[in-house]
Amino acid sequence: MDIKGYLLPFAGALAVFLVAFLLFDMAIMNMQGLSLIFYK
Amino acid sequence: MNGPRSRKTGRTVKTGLLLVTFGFVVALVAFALSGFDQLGAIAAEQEVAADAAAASPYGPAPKLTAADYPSIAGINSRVAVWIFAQLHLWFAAFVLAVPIFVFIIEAIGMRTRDKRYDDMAYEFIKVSITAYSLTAVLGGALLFSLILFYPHLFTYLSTIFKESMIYYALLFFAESAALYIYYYGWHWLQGGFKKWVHLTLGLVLNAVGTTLMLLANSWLTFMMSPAGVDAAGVFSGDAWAAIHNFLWNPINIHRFVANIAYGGSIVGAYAAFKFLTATTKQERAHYDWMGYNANFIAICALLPLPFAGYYLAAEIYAYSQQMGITLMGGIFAWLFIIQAVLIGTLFLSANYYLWCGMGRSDGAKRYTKYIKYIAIVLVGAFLVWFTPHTLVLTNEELKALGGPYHKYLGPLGIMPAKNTAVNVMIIFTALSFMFYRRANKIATVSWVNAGNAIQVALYTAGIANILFLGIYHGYFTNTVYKVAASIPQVLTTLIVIVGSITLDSFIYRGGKQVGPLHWGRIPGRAQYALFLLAVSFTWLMGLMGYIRSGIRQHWHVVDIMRDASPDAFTPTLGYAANVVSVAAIIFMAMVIFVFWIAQVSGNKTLPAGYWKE
Repeated sequence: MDIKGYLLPFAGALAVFLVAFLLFDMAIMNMQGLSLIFYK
Repeated sequence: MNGPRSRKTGRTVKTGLLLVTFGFVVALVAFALSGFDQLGAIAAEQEVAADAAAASPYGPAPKLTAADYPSIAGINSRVAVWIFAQLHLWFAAFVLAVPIFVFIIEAIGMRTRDKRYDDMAYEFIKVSITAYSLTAVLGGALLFSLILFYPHLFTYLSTIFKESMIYYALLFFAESAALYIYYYGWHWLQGGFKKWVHLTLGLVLNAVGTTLMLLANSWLTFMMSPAGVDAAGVFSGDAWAAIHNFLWNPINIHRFVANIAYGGSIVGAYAAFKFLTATTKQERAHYDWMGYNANFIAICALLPLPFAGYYLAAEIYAYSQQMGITLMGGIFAWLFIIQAVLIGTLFLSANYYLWCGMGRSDGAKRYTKYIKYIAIVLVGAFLVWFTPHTLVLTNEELKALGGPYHKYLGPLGIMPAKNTAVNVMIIFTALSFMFYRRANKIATVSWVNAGNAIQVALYTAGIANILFLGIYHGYFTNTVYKVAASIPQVLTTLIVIVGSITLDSFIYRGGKQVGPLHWGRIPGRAQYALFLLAVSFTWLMGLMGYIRSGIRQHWHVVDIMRDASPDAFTPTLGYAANVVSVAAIIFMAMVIFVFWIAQVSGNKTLPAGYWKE
C-alpha cells in the first residue's frame, strides 16, 4: 500500500469530509429549527 | 477561413444553452419555492373565495345520486375512463419528453458539429410523430368518455376551468404546428441561420408542450386540493387561484422530471429493438450508441426522481394528513411495496446495462472486479426498500411471530430505512456511471493516486453521513427529526455525485484514451435490460398514478363534490393492479406498433413491371 501517495491523502480527506458533512447537517437541521444531536 | 465565425457561433450556442438551462432551473426553483409557502396562501385564497362566493354567479358543486351517472352499453364507467386516461398520460408523457432531449441533442450537435447527434435527434423525433397522433386520439377518447360517463363532474370542472380549457385547445394547435414544422422541416432548415430557426422551433415546441402539461395538471390537482372555491364548491371566479392550487407545483415538478426519464426509457427500448433487428455492423453500432444515449438520459432524470416523489408525498401530507395516511399508511401502502420492487428493477436494469456497456472499451477490465460489490450493495438496498412494515398474516402466523412486526426485519419497514436505502442506491448508480466514464481513459496527472484517494474518501464520508442520519434520526428521535433528517441525506447524495464528477473531470483532464470505443460490442441481453426499463417505468407510472388518483377515495373533488356513482369505492389492490396491467399491455402493443411504423417508413418496394415505363 502506498502510504504517502494514497493512504495519507485518504485519511486526511476522510477527516475533512466527515467534519464538513457534520457541520453541513447541523446547519440544515438548525435551519429547520432542530438540533442535529440533541432532540426534545 | 471560417474559424472566427465558427468560434463566434460556438460562443453564441454556448450562451444560448446556458440561458435555456438557467431558465429551466429558475422555473423549477420558482415552482419549488412557491410550493413551500402555499399553506398560508391557500388559507388566504380560501378567505377571499368565501367573500366572493356570496356574490358569485356560480352555483355550488352538484350533489349527485347514482341516477346521475349514465349507464351505456354495460360499460364500466370507471374502468373506461381509467384506461383511457392512463393510455393518454403514457403517450403524453412520452411526446412531451422526447422534444426536450431532442432539443438538447440537436444543440449538442450544433455545438460539436458532429452530425451523428443531429441524425440521432431526428430519429428520436421521428419515433414520437406517430405517438403524437395516438396521444391526440386517446385524449379525444378520454374527453368523450368523461362527458358521457361523468357529465355532471365534467360540467362542474369546465365551469371553473373554461378559460384554461380554451387556451389548452389553442395551445394544442400551436403545438401541432410547431411539431410538424420542426419534424418535416428538419432537412430543410439546416446550416447557419436556418439551423438556428430550427432550434428555436424546438424551443417553442417545448414551451408549448410544457404549458399544456401544466394546464392539465391544474385540473387533476384541483380535484385533490381544490382552491378558488368555498366549502360548498362555489367558484369565486378567480381562475388563477383554482389553477395554482396546493398540489399543482409538486405535481408539475414530479411529472416534468419523470417524463424525461420515461421518454428516455421508451426511446431506449426503440434503440434496443432496432439493435436486435439490425443486419449490419454499422447499424448495430449506430443503435448501440443511440441506446446508450437514451439510457443516459433516463438515468440522469431517474436519479433526482425519488426526491421529487418524496417532495410530492410530503406536500400531500402537508395539505391533508388524512390523505397522506391513506396514501402511505392505509390501503395503498402495499402498492408502495410493489413500487419499491419496480424502482429497484429500474436501478438494477440501468446499472446492468452500464456494466454490459463497459465491454465496448478494452480498458474496462480494470474496473470489472468492483462490479460485484456494487451489485451486492444495490441488491441489499433493494431488499431494504421493499421490506414491508406490517405483514399480511393469518392468525396462526401472527401468534407465532408475536405481533404484526417482524423482530429483526420490522425496523427496516419504516421510511428512514427506505430513505437511507434509496440514497445509497443512487450513490452506487452514480459510481457505476463513473466507472463507465473511466473505462476507456488513462489519467496522466501526477496526483492521480491522491485524487483517487480523495474520491474514495468523499464516497466513504458521504455514505457514513447518510447512514448516521438514517439510523440516529430514524430510530432514536421522533417523527419531526426523521422527516427533517431526510433533507441533509438528499443533499449529501447530491454533493457526493457532483463532487466526484467534478474531481473526476480534473483527474482525467488531458488524459489518454485506451483505444477507440467499439460501439455495437455489447451482448444482446443488455438490450433486454432496456426493454425492462421501459416496461417497469410504464407499470410504475400506472400503479402510482392510480394511487395518486385513488387517495381521493369517494370524492370527485375532495371534500367538495362527492362521487355517488356505483363505483365510488376503493377496489381491491389485486383488481387495481390487473386494470393497470391490462392498460400497460395495451400501451406496449401500441408502442410496438409505433416502432413498427417507424421501421416500415424506411422500407421501399420496387415492383418490376407494375408501373408503365
